[in-house]
Amino acid sequence: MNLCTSARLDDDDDKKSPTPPGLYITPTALANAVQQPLNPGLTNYPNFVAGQAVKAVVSPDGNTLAILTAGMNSLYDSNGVVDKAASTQFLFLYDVAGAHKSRPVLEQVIQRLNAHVGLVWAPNSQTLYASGGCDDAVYAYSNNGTSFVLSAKISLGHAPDGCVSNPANQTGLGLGVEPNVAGLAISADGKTIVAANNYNDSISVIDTALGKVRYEYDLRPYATSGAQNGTKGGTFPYAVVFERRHRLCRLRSRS
Amino acid sequence: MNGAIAYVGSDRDREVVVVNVASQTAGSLVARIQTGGNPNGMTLSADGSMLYVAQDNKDQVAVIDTATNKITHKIDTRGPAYLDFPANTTGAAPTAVAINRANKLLYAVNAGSNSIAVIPLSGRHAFLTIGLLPTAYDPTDVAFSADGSWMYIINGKSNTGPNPGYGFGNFALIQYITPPGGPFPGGNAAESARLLTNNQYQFQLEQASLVSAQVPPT
Repeated sequence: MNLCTSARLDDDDDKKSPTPPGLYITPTALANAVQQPLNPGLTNYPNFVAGQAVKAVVSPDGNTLAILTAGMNSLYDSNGVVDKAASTQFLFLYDVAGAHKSRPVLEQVIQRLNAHVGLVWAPNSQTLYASGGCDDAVYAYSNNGTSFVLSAKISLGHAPDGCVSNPANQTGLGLGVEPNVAGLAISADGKTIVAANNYNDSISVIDTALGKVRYEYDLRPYATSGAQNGTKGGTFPYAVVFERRHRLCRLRSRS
Repeated sequence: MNGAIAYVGSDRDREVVVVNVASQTAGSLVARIQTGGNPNGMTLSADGSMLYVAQDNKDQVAVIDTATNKITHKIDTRGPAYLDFPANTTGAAPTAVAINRANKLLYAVNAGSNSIAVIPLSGRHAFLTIGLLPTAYDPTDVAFSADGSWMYIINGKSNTGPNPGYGFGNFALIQYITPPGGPFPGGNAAESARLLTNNQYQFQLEQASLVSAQVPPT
């Protein structure tokens, strides 16, 4: 591997970036690297750059790069009050088709109040699904020909009012815990999504055509195998992936 | 139905739960695979035969044969093996994994060491880290262009530097330090609001970014 050429250690001075301990890193040391801050272009906060980008996925057709943030992106207005319209998570959509492959062009920013680490494309690249974190929902954004717009909110059924701190919504496992949707995975045919319910120790299996949960599956041993309640296992599900088609074919060929 | 098996990382219990979700009405347990560290990001090989699991507090990627649901390899993502990292040199914290379908390499995103480990999946160096790619601060994920020639790396943080305009906590609640007439004109509530308008809380100052770069040749 030609890392020496890629890193170009002899001309890194203008590429150094400091870290808190006083050491430096080189984010753009790779060949032809371009760094772009994730600035959502908020009208009243033009210099604000979002933090905590957590997931990046390229659409199956290779045309669009989607990036989701899930961090502390609250902003206060000139009166010292939380600016709710600006204090959101962000879904950045970059054009990476053709010549833009080497220098992605920001096409759209979608704001959503809450998010977490789930972000998957439908196989046809026309719909994008994002986990809503403590909203206890999966959001679908579909291409309407000119941009991606919210096309469905799939409630996972734990918190009726989403991320609102009240006893009715504290239905995660534990005291005062709100649900939190983490990772997502989508089947090869796009008909099924599995969502990890991070604070409910379960997965929700979603029918994408209906926009509804088919069922929820408790991952803990007492639920899956009749083990004693409290037996270790299945808690805090975070990431999830789906088996691919070829594997299923192999299983069938054995039967 | 495509995609009948879901692999779910149980973060706290250090295991991957394998669930058959082919049924329209109920899931069924297939296996529980114990992992050495907390499973974070995961990805499957193109044919679904292998599952790669980033384990952030183990500095490893676990390689799982999906036919047997057993771990076959444990890949140290801290760096090339010949560097002989001491056992206490930890903190690479791999948080995500992705396969470049063009060059068939596995890339493990080391959030803790600001790098991406490059790992062949076949040949003489199969399942060994052969190099580290530099990234921005706290990388969290990587994706590839359709032809595999370009990589897109995202990160979560930046060096925030000083935040002199920020006031710790809620000044509105700190009544006893304010004598009548000062030191905060308008009282602590007003001072609290004024400080909040600066938006200099550390988490507000952390900036994420996207780095697009050519995939280094092998």
